[in-house]
Amino acid sequence: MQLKPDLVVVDSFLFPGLDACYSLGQKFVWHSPNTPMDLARTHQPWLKGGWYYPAYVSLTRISGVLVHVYLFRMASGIAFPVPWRHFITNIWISILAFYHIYTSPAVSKLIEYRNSHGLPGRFPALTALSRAAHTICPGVPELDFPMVIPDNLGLYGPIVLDTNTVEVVDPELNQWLGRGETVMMCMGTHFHYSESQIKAIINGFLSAVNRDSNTQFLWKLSNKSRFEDLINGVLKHPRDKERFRIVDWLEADPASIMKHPNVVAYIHHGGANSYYEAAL
Amino acid sequence: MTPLNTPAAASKVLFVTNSESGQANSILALALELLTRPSVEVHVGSFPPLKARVEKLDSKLNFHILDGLTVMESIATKGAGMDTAMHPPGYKCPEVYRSAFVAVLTFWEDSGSDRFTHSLPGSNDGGRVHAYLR
Repeated sequence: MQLKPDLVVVDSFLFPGLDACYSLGQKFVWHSPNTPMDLARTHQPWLKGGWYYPAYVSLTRISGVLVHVYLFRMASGIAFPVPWRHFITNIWISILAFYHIYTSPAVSKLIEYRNSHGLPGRFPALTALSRAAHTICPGVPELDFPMVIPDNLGLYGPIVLDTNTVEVVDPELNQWLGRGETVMMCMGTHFHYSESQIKAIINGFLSAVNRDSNTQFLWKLSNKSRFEDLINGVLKHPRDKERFRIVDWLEADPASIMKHPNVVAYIHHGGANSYYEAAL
Repeated sequence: MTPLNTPAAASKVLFVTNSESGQANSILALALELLTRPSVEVHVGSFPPLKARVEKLDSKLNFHILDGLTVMESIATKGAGMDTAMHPPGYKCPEVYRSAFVAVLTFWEDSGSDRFTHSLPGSNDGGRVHAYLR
């Protein structure tokens, strides 16, 4: 199959796609669903990426040397601005992260393999921002850390799938939403609930709603059937049961569901797409 | 750069993405948006799990399969699932780098097949992504 595309748009985490573009000299645009801080941490003055912002993610550069790395979301729990008492911990986390990565045999093997096959550098994503014709990011400056945005990084606001209205895609759900104010909960596809988490969520919701209200709960729970007995056990009272609509998959896009005036809150896993969908 | 909505820019755009919704959703939103512009042919390349979704979104999207394991499949084979990505806040959080992060970083490095070599020039077929680009 030969496409000879005029332009390739590469997902920020599809590293082999980047390598393919590099080795062929293909013009490409880098696309990230994440926040601008995830991409441009290295581009902050005074190496602020390593100490000024809380350690949580991203491309970090230590001095001018080619020590770049993606710092995965490690949820340090450190606030911003970084409190003085966490100043050292914050830096220490980054150092330890580098240590773990560069002492990993899998990482060394990967770098060696790439280099022996004519691909310079360590990880393909490390130079993507500078090599891409442009970088597309759904960022909103007001929703992110105060930071310097590099010239070739475009912030376009939320880029979300919102193909059809919920009336069209799922009329039954639309009708259900009409019953009363609704809280929607939708964790990432790869989130696995434990039984105790499921119990805690149901009981937590029930303890928060006013008994006389119509407040209801729309919940995307993958592998719902596995928890059927547990759910029925917790939702004994028919009135409680009525408040819940638990589904394996939402046919309508979350962004379109949230357009319904009855949807008052969205509980999600903190993924960038969900964050932007909710912000819209 | 010529704006994409001018006829002079008649062009072919290929989106290549991981198949996990968190990575693919916003790229698919862009691909759908591009379809509304005249004279743009839109292609999407991804792993098999995304095929049905893309075809359902719009029949004008041309889907191409990328060979190999998805990120989630790959890290599962290395025993580095989401459970290993959980950690307490504070100085212990880099523990996640021992397995989960490294697994994501090197996801196409070994998958039982020649996934890694597929992404490199000089491999037997030049790599699946390469094949689409040439």
